[in-house]
Amino acid sequence: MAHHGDHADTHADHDDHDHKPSGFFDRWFCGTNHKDIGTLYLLFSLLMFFIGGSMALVIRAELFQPGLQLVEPDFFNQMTTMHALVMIFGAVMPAFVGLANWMIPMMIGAPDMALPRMNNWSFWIMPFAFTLLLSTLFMDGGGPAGGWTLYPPLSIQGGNNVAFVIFAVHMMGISSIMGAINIIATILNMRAPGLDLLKMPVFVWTWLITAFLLIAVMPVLAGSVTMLLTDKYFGTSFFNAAGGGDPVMFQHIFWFFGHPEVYIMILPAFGVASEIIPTFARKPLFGYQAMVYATASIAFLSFIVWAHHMFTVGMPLGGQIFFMYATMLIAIPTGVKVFNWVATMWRGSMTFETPMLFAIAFVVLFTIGGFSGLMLAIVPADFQYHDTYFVVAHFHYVLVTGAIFSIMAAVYYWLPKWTGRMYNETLGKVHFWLSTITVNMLFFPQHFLGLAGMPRRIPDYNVAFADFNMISSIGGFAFGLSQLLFAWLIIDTCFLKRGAKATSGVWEGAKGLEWTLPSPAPYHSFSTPPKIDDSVLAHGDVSH
Amino acid sequence: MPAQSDRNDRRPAIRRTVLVLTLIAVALYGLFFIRVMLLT
Repeated sequence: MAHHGDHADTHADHDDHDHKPSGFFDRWFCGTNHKDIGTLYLLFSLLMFFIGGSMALVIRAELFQPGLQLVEPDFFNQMTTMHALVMIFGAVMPAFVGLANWMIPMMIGAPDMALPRMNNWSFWIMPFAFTLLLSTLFMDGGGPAGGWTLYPPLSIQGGNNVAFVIFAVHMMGISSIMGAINIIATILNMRAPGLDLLKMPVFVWTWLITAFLLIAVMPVLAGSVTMLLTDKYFGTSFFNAAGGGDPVMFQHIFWFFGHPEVYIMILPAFGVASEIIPTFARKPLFGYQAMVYATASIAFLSFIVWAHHMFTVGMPLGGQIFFMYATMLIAIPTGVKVFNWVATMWRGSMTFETPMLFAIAFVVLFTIGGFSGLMLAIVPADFQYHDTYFVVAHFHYVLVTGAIFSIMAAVYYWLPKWTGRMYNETLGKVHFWLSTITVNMLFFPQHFLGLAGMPRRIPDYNVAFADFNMISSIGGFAFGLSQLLFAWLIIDTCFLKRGAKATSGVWEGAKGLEWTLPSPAPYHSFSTPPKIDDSVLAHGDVSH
Repeated sequence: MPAQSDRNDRRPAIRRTVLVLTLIAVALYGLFFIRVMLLT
């Protein structure tokens, strides 16, 4: 990997002339640098991860044993609702946008995002949106308690938190749409000359497709919550049966947004795994083009499966069969991806640094979430599983061991590039093993609870479910505490800078334009477009 | 600065991309209102 260092020196000479904004306010509040905005997104996401996580701990503490111990049922419902909203819109999505901001310009050889000032705005909407959302917990009547799906009529029977929540969702939507437009404009227009679409890193590809999903579905969510707002405050009857409206219509519109939203949270995770696994297997990604086409297929299929969330609401048999088979079809491109990751590792010279451990755990545990998803897709089985803890176990395998594990893998993988320092590998591995053991202790028993019939979103339950709930709660608290180690590792690497200095290539097997830059990456990179030399590219139609 | 002029040349393309994507987003927001009003 010596040639990486040579490139890096050349770029370092160029970039030393660049200056950061001098004042703290100018840099962090008014700044337009993609790396700074990426850092802001990632720190915001970490904060939300801990806020949403503490809400999860309230839930798990109450469910530690049967009976009502700690919180009122209505507050419990506020916790389940807010936990989901905070984790989805505040933790997972901004984390991936942060990774996109940091990495996409460096991966495609661009000096910054295409629309840097809009980038600043996209981020700074978020803290206001979440202040608004979280402030509802301190209002008379508390926060939203009808579930993150906001189904009417329940969701609009709350107090005045409804207006705040809906305004917050609109703001998050505007932020996401602006972020997505920025990412598409960057990828389509700012690639270094010679970096064809089918030479782009898979992470860039997955984000391009994700950004299109965001533009397609966030307006739909915004439309549906605007209708909720007018139903509550302006006397319309979009979803009010008494006025000629249809509450089930909301569910259809919501899930037309909601299912692609799941893929918005998982496609960039696929991209992260596709970057990390080849690096630590020291082999090019198996089936690069198949990965790209599988991602696009999953994105397309995500638009025609929404009603699998609504089998028990009632629909014609033809509808049930269509949505069941369409859902099962997603297993094919997803299977292609899992096969390709395994084939990439096959006979590779593998080493197991922390990012690789998280990436392998991602492949294995996400697949468990995928399989339980297939079980849920079967209509007659879904009648049994619907609204039980089986569903909770399913989507937490997808979102925690899927999306969040990949975010952690990405942070460990790119942290040396961002900070110029290696993190503490031993502590990283301890964090991985603690997280992996405890997350399975937390979520695996929930499959059994669901199959035995325990409903979701309840603060009390039959004593028959006591043992598995206790195990799950112990796992939950252990998983939550393990994440303090993650926060410490980030502080240790970013601020205390105690680790060894990172080289430009960082990892022996790393390939791609971002690794040609020095570590830490200079404040302004690729002010002059790099010459594309196929030997430094990790992917695409290049000879390895 | 040939690289700089390269970047400047991309501005019309970026503007076109932003315009098309914004129109799609606004149209989708509006279309769903129309669809729900027709169906309810």
